[in-house]
Amino acid sequence: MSPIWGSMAQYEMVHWSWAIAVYLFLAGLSSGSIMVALLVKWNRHERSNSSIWDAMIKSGAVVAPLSILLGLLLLIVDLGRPLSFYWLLIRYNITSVMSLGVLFLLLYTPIVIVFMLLVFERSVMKYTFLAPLVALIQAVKELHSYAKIIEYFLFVTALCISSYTGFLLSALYAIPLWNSPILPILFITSSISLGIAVNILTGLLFFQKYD
Amino acid sequence: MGKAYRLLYDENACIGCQACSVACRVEHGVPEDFFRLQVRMELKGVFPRLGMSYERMACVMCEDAPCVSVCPTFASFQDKDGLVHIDERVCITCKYCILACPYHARFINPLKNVVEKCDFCYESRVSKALLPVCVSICPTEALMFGDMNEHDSLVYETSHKEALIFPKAHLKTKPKVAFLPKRKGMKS
Repeated sequence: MSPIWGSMAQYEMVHWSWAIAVYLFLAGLSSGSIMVALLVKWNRHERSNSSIWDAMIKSGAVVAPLSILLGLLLLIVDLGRPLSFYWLLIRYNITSVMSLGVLFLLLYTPIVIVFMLLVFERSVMKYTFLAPLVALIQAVKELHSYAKIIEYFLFVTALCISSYTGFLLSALYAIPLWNSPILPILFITSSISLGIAVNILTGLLFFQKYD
Repeated sequence: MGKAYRLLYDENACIGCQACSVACRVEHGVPEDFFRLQVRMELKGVFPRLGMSYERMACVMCEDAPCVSVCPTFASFQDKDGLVHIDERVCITCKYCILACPYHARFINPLKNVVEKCDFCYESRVSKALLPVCVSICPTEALMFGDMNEHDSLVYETSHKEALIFPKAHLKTKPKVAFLPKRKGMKS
């Protein structure tokens, strides 16, 4: 029975559904795996195609774009008015962490796809069913001389993605536990550890060549 | 000069009749089981020092409003008088403001699928120099509303006579709603 002042349901509702929880995981996964892949590429890449290091780079280059694209879809699904999401792209309130997140995602997502195409350039050329991508690859190939700059830029945006999710939650007053500056640090740490784990796992499962 | 609106809620005068809440529902057509305004009651203290404690749950119109600063599309905005409103056209119902509000004042109107909250009856009443509907209906005059820039207004006089409590003042949101705390009865 409701108390005399009425139903309390609206005060006990969970406003951000499972979709946001999964998105936060996917954003951490994407940025973590690409950061780890880049660190490996810069420090441990020895031009041999059979090492675990090479497998980790390939894994990061696949996992990062796929998970962020799925995550973006979930972000829109969770909106109360999904078809109005374009307002997010038109109006930017820089004091809102969500708006900053949209900006970071707009930078990050295309670059991470470019990175994937650069890493898998030869494989894409090999398979005929990927023929429509060849034109894209040719365009990306033009960027080869800028590869290092793109990688640095990608690393910075990935770091922004992994930390903004923490700042996003720490701006909430309604849930005092989350209203804490430790949260962004926790998010970065967990995304990097997730990146290491997933790169080793998918690297060993799919990209390890036994020869 | 802009207005410095203030709403005072006198916990000593409130009897918990919920007339304000009902009037609010009628004025704004709030859907069933959703509330812009609630007055919660609780019996507090130890016998024989018992007393009812009342709590008004509604938007407190912060000057530094967390809902306005987190809104990614400026759907939550402040007008020239510092009142917080919602532009339903650009609200995408991302629910960030609902979670950012320390006063739990916001909800999703299921009929329109946009975020809604108390707006001091700005459009329908205050902009036409009428009192908000909860203030005008209150049978015990527990609610007072007015402009702090007018020095002969009731809110100005009461604010300078009584000790006011601003809800969750430690968050430094600077609310425009203040409470006159209970003076007698229970010790919580």
